[in-house]
Amino acid sequence: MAATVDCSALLLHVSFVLVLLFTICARAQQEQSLGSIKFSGPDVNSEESESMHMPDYLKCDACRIIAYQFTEKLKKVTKRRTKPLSESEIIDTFEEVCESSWDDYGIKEVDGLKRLSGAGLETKEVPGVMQGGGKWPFRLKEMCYSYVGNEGEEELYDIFKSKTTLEKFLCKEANGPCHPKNKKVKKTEKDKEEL
Amino acid sequence: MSGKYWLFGVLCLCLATATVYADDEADATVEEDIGDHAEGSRTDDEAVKREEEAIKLDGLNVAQIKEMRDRAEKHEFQAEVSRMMKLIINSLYKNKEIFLRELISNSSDALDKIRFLSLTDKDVLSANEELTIKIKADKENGVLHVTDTGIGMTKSELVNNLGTIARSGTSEFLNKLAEGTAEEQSALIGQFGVGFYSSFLVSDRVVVTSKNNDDKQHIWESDAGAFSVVEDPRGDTLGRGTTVSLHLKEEAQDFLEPHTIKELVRKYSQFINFPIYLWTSKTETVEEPIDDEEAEEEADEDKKEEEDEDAKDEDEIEEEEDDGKVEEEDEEEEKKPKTKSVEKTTWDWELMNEQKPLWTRTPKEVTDEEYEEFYKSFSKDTDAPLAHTHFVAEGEVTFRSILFVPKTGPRDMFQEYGKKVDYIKLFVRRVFITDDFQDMMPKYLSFVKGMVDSDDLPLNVSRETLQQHKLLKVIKKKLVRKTLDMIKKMDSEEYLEKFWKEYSTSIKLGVIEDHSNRTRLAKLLRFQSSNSDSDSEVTSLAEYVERMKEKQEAIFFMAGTSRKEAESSPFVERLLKKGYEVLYLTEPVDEYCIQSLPEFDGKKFQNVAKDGLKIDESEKVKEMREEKEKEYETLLTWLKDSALKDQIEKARLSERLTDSPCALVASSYGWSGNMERIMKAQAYARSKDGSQDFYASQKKTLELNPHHPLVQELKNRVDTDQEDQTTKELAQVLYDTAVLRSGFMLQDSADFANRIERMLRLSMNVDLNAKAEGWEEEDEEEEEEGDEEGEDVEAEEEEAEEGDAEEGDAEEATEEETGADEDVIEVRRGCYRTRKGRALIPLTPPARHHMYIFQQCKNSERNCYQTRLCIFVGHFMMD
Repeated sequence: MAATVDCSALLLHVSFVLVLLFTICARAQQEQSLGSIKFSGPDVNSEESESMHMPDYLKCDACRIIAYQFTEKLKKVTKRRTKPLSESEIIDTFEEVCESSWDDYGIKEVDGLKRLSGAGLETKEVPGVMQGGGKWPFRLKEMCYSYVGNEGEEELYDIFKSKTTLEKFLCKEANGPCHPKNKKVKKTEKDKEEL
Repeated sequence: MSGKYWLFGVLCLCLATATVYADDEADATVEEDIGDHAEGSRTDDEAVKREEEAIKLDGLNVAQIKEMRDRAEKHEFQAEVSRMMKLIINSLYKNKEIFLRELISNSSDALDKIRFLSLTDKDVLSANEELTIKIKADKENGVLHVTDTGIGMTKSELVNNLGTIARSGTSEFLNKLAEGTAEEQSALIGQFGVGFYSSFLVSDRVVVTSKNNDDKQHIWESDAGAFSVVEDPRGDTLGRGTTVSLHLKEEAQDFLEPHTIKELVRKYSQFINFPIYLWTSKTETVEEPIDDEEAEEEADEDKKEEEDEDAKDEDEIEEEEDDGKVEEEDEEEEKKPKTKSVEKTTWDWELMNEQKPLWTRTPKEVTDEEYEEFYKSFSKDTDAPLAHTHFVAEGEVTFRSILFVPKTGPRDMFQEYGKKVDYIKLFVRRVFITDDFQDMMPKYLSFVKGMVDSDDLPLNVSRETLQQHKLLKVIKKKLVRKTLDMIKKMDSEEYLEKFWKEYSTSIKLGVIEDHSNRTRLAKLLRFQSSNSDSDSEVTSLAEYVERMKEKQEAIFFMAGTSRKEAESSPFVERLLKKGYEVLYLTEPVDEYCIQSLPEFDGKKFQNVAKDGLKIDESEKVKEMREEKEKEYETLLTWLKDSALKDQIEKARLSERLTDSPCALVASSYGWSGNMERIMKAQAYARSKDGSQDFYASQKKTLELNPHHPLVQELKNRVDTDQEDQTTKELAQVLYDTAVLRSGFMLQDSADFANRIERMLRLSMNVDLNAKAEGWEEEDEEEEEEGDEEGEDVEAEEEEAEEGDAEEGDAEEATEEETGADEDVIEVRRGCYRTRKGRALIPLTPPARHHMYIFQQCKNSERNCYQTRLCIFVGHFMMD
């Protein structure tokens, strides 16, 4: 179904679009007799929609996502293998992770906090609306490569083989974004106002 | 075939080259005859020997030569070639000696080619297994022969390679050659593959005999004016390869001296990977019995064998002379003592270069000079490199590599930035494979020159094979790391003065493109800063962070076309006054570069021309500001809602101004004035690009300086009368100046000019309605002109309309793809995949799509399902 709506300032007002969208969406679904659903979409600020980089308060989540993807991929590649991976396989593995689409990740409001959502995070299972696409894949890819570049593929692979998890190594140690000293959170606008 | 004719022909014509097979029986017979005729006392053996030693011209008699010449195809040089030859001759006359380097280099390339082919097809070497370069000087005839057993040229290759320049860069080359210094010129001809023509620096006439596996042997001959090509009547004498025979000019005869040749080879060609031999004589005193015939015979036989192998040629006359001399010496020797101390002259091929490749040696054992020489020889560069690194990488793929940073980058480095070009030569087990592998270096490091030699790659290495592709990736990764290490380790002064000056843009592009090495590259960045008054002094980010104030959270930067512009921008006023350091970004690429850095050393970057600037202020100042804000509320609201309605996002009091009345601040993620200017100047920018418009039309914040008298006066006026036309105009002009001051472009410059003129009239007491009067006496003409102009305008308008219409059509056609039409929103079924790379490129405008995933759960968390909704710019998609 197609609806034509005048919306020249679409990109400027994502929140506005959301509202508009939900109306259309709800209508669409009603027509399809799916029943109406109430959504509460994330209130996206300009940093979240425009910045080229991961906002500070989402870095912990992003780090955990990347660590999760590294781990999953390495598990898959090393499954049923006795020999350790070769250099080129290691490089390839990490490159494949970083070059993956990151399509299924996005921002979601969970318990009054701005969070990332997607595979590897507990937030994935929380009902709600996640906004993905946009700059999110690029930001995750960028962070992914910076971990690979700064730590080194082989070093990360060694961590994977050791007892430490990549999540602990990358995210939770003293320099990691999830370390209590570094961790930042962002409350959603509503909560802020209440505060 | 008569002996006399034969002799005569050689003497008269001295036609070069034409090596003759030693086993050519007919010729051999003729030679013997002549030998007997010239000096009866000689043995046939001797005659043959002499013939072989001396350099032969033609194995042809007059009639044959005449016939050959008649049959030869005459060609004119392509105009560019003639022009180029003249230029080469005129510009390099002081540097004649390079001709030998160029010929050897060409030979080496030809040998590389045949060796490369032989990797997959052994048969290509069947005509001649040998891979050598041989130089022979024929003093008597003033001819220098350079023979290689390389790939050789077919007839059409002779015509094309030695008569035309197909390269597209011809005119570029000619221009550079005309402008360059002598050193540059000498390097240029090698780089452009026209080194062969330098032969005419020293020769009157050049003869090229060439045999390719796919064609018969041909002779190319030229006196620099025109050239001819003909099939060699002697048939195949080379087996495979090329002989270039230079008939040296009178003044260039020195190049026939063995020591000169040796010196040149040592100077220019020591790193050639094929053996270079020179035909040299050795004179030694040997104790021999009087009857030394046996020994001589032995020597003769040795010679013969060699000659057979090398397919050498013969001619008599010089030999006779030669013989004569030697004989005389011998005789003298013989006469004096009764004992047998004999001066013996023997001729043999002497190896002149050591071919053990430099990179196979231990780095410690190689001197800097050797690296420099090696670099110059393989890169054809005349300047010493800025830095080098020589290493062995071990692991899955073991390889040796030497990398260099040239003193200057390729001139068209960024014009051709999109192309994948690099200067890394690939060797496999010491065999040169290709210098056109591409992809050995990322684009931003394409200026690095060097070589890689690996034992672990197959000789027919190709990127298409998956496993090899993977190995190459490992190599590439290590090359990049080593290159960055090498650059990092450069002496800091040299880094700034030489490297940064030449390659700053490359490093900045690296920051933008190479995510994984961004942290390393960021450390190499240098920018001007308010910390130093000098234009030439730059600072690293690390130094900046070290100097940061205690409570300073971000690295401040201001971008502009020049340091002066950045320095005098209203945005830095207060920061500088408060003693903050501001980086001045003066290159167009700088702002992109910084924007693509998430942070440096934990510090974020703040463009001081954009929203988000936080200046540490005392509580007192904050209170005062709040008070002022209340005081100015009327003015701020009036500006936003009335005077500058639709032009600004909002108006507020500024934290960053001290001297200027006001400034226009871009939103954190919008374009600064500098960026707007750059983006609009992009050659590929479309006039109605949706994303451009999005950024360009983004409304900015007008910041006012409450301490400025103009602003204060404006406030007073607005407080009394909000509807006054002049006050509104004042506000508009103030806004216009803020636009300009802040580095943005005025949307309507004519309107702006009108306002300024109006103000001038007011301040000069000129009637606002007074009109300009034209030249009275030329009324008629003017009218006509006026009419014409009017017509022109109309025509233009029509054209413009047409243009618009066309554009509109084009847009509609591409709408699906680009979603350019933002006025239409569509909700469609079906979902989408992120088109790889498209929305993710850092410099692209806001992503053209957003995706929403609706996670819904029924009763338990396990029973969840998702609804996807995708929005493109102007399009909705859902499933």
